[in-house]
Amino acid sequence: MAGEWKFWFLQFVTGAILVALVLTHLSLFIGNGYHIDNSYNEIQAHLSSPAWAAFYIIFLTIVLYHSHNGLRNILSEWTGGHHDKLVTAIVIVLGVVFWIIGMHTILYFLVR
Amino acid sequence: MAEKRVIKFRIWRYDPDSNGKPTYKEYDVPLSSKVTTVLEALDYIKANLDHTLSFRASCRMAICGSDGMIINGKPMLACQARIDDLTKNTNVIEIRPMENYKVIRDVVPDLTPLFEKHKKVKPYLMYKDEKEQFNPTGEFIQSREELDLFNQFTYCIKCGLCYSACPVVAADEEFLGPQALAQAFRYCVDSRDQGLEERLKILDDKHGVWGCHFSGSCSAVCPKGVDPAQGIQLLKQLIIAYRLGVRKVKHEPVVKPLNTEFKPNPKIPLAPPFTAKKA
Repeated sequence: MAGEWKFWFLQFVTGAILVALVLTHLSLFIGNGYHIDNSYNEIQAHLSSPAWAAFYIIFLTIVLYHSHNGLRNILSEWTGGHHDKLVTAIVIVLGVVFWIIGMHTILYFLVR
Repeated sequence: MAEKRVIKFRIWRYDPDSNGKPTYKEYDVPLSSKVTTVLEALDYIKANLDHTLSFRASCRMAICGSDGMIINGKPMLACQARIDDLTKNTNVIEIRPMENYKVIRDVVPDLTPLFEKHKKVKPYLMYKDEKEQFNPTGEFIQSREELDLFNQFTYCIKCGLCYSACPVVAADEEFLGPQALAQAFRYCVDSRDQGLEERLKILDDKHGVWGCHFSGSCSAVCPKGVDPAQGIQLLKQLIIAYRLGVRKVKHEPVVKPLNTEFKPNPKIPLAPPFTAKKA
């Protein structure tokens, strides 16, 4: 597929952004007083904040793009590049399904 | 007098006419002052033990790139592979043809895909002013710094060892391979060239530069110390910068009129006259 540079470039950019997002996410759960006993309540309070909900919507979208584009590359190589349209359709459908499930989780506490 | 050391050569034999499966055949080669490299050992075998053995060789000094083969599991030039280095812990040397090529016979690979892919990336200078390119009125000027950007890649001898070592080529036959991509970089970054846009048609593709997983095997096996893996990563960088419109080009190619008033340096003696008569 000509113009493949866009996918490579976006993969590179989303990968770099993910480093910051993952570190931010982990820093909230490591050394910040979170424990298994009260994690549900803590997370509920956490995701009730519109700012954090926005953070996780961005996180979810970027992580899904990055992982599913990676998956597309792997599947494309495994299939010898002969079924690229099918492979792309599968990863897009899977990505949309996971995005809806993720959005439901993130927005659940916000709209409650 | 000490006995000569004898090395066992296990060589991959394949005869396309016999319809048989490839097999390994063993030959005992005594080392001597005339047999110090794998190529010399192959010559010894062909001259003294088995004249049916086929291999390709020419210059014997790692310049022509004809005798690439897998020696003890690693792609190498037979003329560059010293038997002493290969037999420090063993008395056996195993030789088979390069990977990722069809085999013509024994250890002779068919290098056609290497050369076809090399041709595909248009490995020559392309100048937009075709009149000037094909009927030059002057010469291109290039600084030392501009030359250094691609100089190492000009040492490629097209032996095909990098192509043989590349795991991506093994999985994707359409992948251009390290040799062609490194040469594409060599020309795209040349200050005298204006062919990037033309080459992008073939390079900006998943079988082109984006197919490279940067395993680095190509650079590890290059007999001339070229680093194709680095060239490919720099080519990726160059293409991204170009596509985003942020590529910095110092200047367009500079054509300087030919110096026709050449005066020889008096300190350098003139060449002696021809000793043979011109036909």
